[in-house]
Amino acid sequence: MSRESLLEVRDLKTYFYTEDGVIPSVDGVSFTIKKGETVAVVGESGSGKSVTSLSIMGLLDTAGKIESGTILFEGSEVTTLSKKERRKLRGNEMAMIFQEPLTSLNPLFTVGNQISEAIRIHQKVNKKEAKKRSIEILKKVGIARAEKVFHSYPHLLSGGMRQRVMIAIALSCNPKLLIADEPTTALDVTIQAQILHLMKELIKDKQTSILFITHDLGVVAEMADQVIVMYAGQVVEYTDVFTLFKEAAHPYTTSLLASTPKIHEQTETLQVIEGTVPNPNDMPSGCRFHTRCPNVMEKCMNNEPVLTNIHAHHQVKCWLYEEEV
Amino acid sequence: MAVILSVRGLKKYFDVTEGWWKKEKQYLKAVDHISFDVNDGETLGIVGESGCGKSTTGNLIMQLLEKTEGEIIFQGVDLATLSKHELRKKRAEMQMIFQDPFSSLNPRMKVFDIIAEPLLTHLNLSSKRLKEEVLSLMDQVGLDRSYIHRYPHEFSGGQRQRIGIARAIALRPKLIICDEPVSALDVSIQSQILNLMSKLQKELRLTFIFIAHGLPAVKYISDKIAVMYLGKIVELTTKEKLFSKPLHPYTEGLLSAVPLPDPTLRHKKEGVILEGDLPSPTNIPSGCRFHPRCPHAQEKCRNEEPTFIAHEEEHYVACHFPLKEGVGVLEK
Ligand SMILES: Nc1ncnc2c1ncn2[C@@H]1O[C@H](COP(=O)(O)OP(=O)(O)O)[C@@H](O)[C@H]1O
Ligand SMILES: Nc1ncnc2c1ncn2[C@@H]1O[C@H](COP(=O)(O)OP(=O)(O)O)[C@@H](O)[C@H]1O
Ligand code: SF4
Ligand code: SF4
Ligand SMILES: [Mg+2]
Ligand SMILES: [Mg+2]
Repeated sequence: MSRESLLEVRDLKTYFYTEDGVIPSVDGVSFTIKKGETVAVVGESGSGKSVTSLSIMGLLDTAGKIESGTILFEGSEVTTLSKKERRKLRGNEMAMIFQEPLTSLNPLFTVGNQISEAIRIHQKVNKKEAKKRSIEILKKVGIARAEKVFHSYPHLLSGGMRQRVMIAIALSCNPKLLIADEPTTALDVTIQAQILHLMKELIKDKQTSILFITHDLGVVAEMADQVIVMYAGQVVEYTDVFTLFKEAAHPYTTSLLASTPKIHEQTETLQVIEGTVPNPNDMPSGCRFHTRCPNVMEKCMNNEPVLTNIHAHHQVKCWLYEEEV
Repeated sequence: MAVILSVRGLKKYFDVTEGWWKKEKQYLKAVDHISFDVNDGETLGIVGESGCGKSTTGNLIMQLLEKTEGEIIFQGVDLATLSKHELRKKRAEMQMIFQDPFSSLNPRMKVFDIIAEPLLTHLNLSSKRLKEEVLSLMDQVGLDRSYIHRYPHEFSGGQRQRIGIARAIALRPKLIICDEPVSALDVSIQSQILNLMSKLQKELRLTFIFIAHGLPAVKYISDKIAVMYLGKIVELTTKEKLFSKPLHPYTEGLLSAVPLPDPTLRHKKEGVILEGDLPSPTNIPSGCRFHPRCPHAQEKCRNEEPTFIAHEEEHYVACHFPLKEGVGVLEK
């Protein structure tokens, strides 16, 4: 089954220019999202997941710069678009939800105000019609007393309700791409289950693609079609979700899987990844994982491996697989 | 096995009445009559979603908060009967580890000062002995000795947690209350800290109360697990029973809500997705406080509060209709 590709990221490099020097937060990332597909980006904190998504959305702060690479949305380059064109794309074609919805909701306006506003920007309708559609959307995202919530201020809602509201706003313009950056990380687990279920239901019969960012391999297993594993600003493994959990190849991925608690297995011990994630302005030479890798070899220390296909649709960035190329 | 800590009918009601003119006081029932025992050398995990009263329970045991009602019996002694001086001595045998170990500490303290502080307050050591003691504690928790004169903000989350652990074990306590010590850490670091804690538990014969908001974090370290909901313990049993045959509908819901790191189980999970939000602890539902979200609720549940009783050996539950075929997650 080959579906049309919606987003193609090629060799993306996003650096931050800070007082402490240049931080290569995203350093040569490539992947493709097809129509209707959910692609998960997984990795520990600081691995460059959020910067990748902000680069795609065009929401980097001023210290961040796309150094090189291309981002093609439906075949057209977006990194060279004007601010205005970018904003238009963001409103109509791509939308984003974040870990903490409060930071993106305006505390001074009611929920209804903010959803109606979003609807009126994208669909040319009057106030009354916008309100009607807002309430419909609120109901669709599982808010029972939609009329009441419509008139509420964001801070009066629970975390789960706020995330539903954010999803409502994001989906109000029927985007082709939804970027979800740790949307359930701040929520309690029973509420997380509700939100994940809701997201799956909402995209089921649309062709919405999702870039789903998370640090939780459980959430990956639950949501993803394809998975990108990031470490220190780079993609180290890229394959479909079933292959990843069955035949993970990169030592970082296998270690991460082994150190993830599994409540459904009898195992009594957790494996450990020694050491810590490297400091971005002091990246290890060679393979960036070599300081923590249980399989490290001489050549890993000074030579950087390249991301290569070990099978069709299974890419790994590691010297262990060099012979198989 | 000897019981080291018994908690009986423990309550903490916070007065949240707004406005002095209000005749009727309003209470937030953070902890609402809970009872449990912890065996010497074991780990009791306490799990439940945010606001269910886990930290309040820990703070009450540590005497950091004044209880509203109930008994806390540590090593056979009801802590309420102790004089100030006696309590201070007993408290040295109970220590705490927090999610952010330094939020309450002066940021000008160096690693040495942080670890040495409890030793200075409780023991009379020469400065040479003190330094030796601090260095040996650093060894025990896997901190490089060269870090002794650094400030905690120079460290990553995992290393900061090691400093907090060194401080907590400095006085050779019997009981350590761990309040979400790994919740803010990346998984690879979580496993380092969990393994370190298990190692120290064996070496030092420690008893742990290990608080977490999710079941995965407590699975590896706990012997028994208590599940809390809105100030109550709703189920308490051994780890094996909890994961394989939960009796309380809330436990079943919590278990099935955990996304399992195995995509082939995605559609097989027959579990329930619990509906609704957590109610406010200032306005606790009548009868069984879980009834608005419980898929098995019946008339009786709305009117009568279930008591917390042993349903079978070592398996306590507060439910009128405990599950017969509770869906666990542990593969047989
Ligand atoms: N605005 C910024 N200024 C400077 N550095 C940044 C900024 N945003 C992110 N970074 C750095 O980029 C790296 C990747 O960050 P991020 O993408 O947020 O990681 P993740 O989302 O995977 O946790 C980190 O080292 C972070 O410190
Ligand atoms: N000092 C306080 N005053 C009033 N309410 C409090 C206080 N401390 C905690 N609470 C409330 O008590 C309930 C239980 O809190 P806590 O024990 O911190 O929960 P948990 O640790 O399980 O998240 C929450 O509703 C919380 O808001
Ligand atoms: S290239 Fe070498 S150090 Fe890097 S992951 Fe592979 S084996 Fe480990
Ligand atoms: S007492 Fe009733 S409402 Fe409460 S958990 Fe049991 S079945 Fe559900
Ligand atoms: Mg992030
Ligand atoms: Mg707490």
